[in-house]
Amino acid sequence: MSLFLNSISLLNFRNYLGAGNSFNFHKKFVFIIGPNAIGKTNLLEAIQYISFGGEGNKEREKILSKNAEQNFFSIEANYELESRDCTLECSIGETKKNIKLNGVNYRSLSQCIDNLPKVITFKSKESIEIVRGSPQKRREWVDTTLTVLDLKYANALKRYNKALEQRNSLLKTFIQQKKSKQTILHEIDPWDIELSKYGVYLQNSRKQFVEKHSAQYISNYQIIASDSEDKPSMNYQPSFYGCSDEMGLLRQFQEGHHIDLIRGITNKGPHRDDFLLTLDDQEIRHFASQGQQRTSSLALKMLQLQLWQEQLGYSPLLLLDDVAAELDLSRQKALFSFLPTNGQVFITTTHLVNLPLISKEDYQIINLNKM
Amino acid sequence: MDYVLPLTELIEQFRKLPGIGAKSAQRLAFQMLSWDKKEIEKFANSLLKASNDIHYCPECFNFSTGGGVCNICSSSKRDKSTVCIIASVRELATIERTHEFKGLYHVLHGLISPMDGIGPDNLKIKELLNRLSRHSEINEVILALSPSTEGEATTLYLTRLLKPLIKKITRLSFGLSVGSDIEQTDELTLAKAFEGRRECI
Repeated sequence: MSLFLNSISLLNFRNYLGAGNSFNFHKKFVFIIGPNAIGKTNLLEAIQYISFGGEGNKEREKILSKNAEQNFFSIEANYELESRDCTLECSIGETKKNIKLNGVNYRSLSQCIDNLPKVITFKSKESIEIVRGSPQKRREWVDTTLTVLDLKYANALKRYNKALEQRNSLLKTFIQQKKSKQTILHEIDPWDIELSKYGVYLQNSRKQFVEKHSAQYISNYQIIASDSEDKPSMNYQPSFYGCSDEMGLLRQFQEGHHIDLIRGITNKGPHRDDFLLTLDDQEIRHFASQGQQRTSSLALKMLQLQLWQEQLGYSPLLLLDDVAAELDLSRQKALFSFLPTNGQVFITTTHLVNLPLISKEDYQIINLNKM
Repeated sequence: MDYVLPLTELIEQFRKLPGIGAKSAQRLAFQMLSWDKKEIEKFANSLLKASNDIHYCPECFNFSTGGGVCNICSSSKRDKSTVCIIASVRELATIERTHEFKGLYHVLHGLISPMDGIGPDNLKIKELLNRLSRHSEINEVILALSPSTEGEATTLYLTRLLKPLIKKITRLSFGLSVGSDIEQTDELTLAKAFEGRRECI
């Protein structure tokens, strides 16, 4: 079992205008070097684009189309997934998408998601948001991680979100005075049931996830911050307290009717869950230093890496964007100790300092400046 | 590209159809222009006739002709005590091909979907209640709606609504498709099939 990205060709992707932007990759370490604004991160973004698990994937289409000078771009990737050679061609225009995997057409990348490379990115500037940002960032991280670990979770999440969207649309008709309160209360029932049915699965899975894996997060944290006495912890904070079955959730959704009608939106439920990260019983989000926040976010990403590796039987692609600039030497060293011995790692950096203990045949340097 | 006006108009008409883009519309229009006048007339007449003659069956909202109930509702061979609820007439045709179901139908013409502005009032649900009150011989309702989010919600809504009125409400089971391979079945379907397993007799 393995996953290797052999090559990628870009056309009009971000700053890679025109054709002739092809890259072949080494199977272990790929260092992408060059000065600022030459396209290091964009190359990682391209890899992220054709993969599952990258950060900020939801907003990516918007950003990409805004930046592209041409009104379309294309990416072609060759990769080896579980000893099968895959060719993915995707060209994205303003109105048209063309996705072809091994010669078969798909309507979107999410349709062939099982056969896309799995990827974990650590961008020191953005990844810290998992720890520092809104609860949504932490939920997204847990959801992404669990999606790979449990197919039923992925399905429950999809169904929950769809039902939530429908329920909110129904509530909006009250705000817009299209429907009476009585009608809404009559019609909201099936959505409450649908949300409870899938919400209970999300809630229980998230609870179990934290119970099972928080110890490993803590140990990761302590390895990365070897010189500190920090006592980290992770706790699940469900939006609905004190219920663990479908009926319990249903009751809480029903109790929310009054306020939901006033605001025209579903105020409580698993879509408002949070994961509380603390250091010495204080919330990291508010009280920790930037270095501690960075350590925590890195520990989470490494946990994701460990869990995915275990589940998949191979290492996902690892994309490290400019970590050298943001992590001190001891943390960099710790980071390298987590890296898979049999997986592929892409690292961008402005200048190559001492490569920590990697033998010459194990890495490749792509110097974008000289291209 | 500029064509003569009638051709441009024809292409525009074809483009109104679902799944037909600019290129396909153009191809269809060119194809039809090469037809015999007679064939064209036949085609146009079929279209007009279908649109003029077809109406909804006042009982089940299947397609019907001649002003009365449809051929399923009027058939003496059908079991009048069972009604199968479906979302569209297309599904009716699919179920009919199985020759498994001998009862009557009720077509909702859609599924509940607030996002698309479709509530229970936009479906043939009032008509269903009315029908059930007129026909006391109906004692089983089968909910044959797809297991999508909207299908599930509609099933739940109808179950609640019909419970006090009908003795037996059933829904289709989930599971393996006939002739399929367990190895080839997706995990979710297989999980559903395990949930819905039954005892061997």
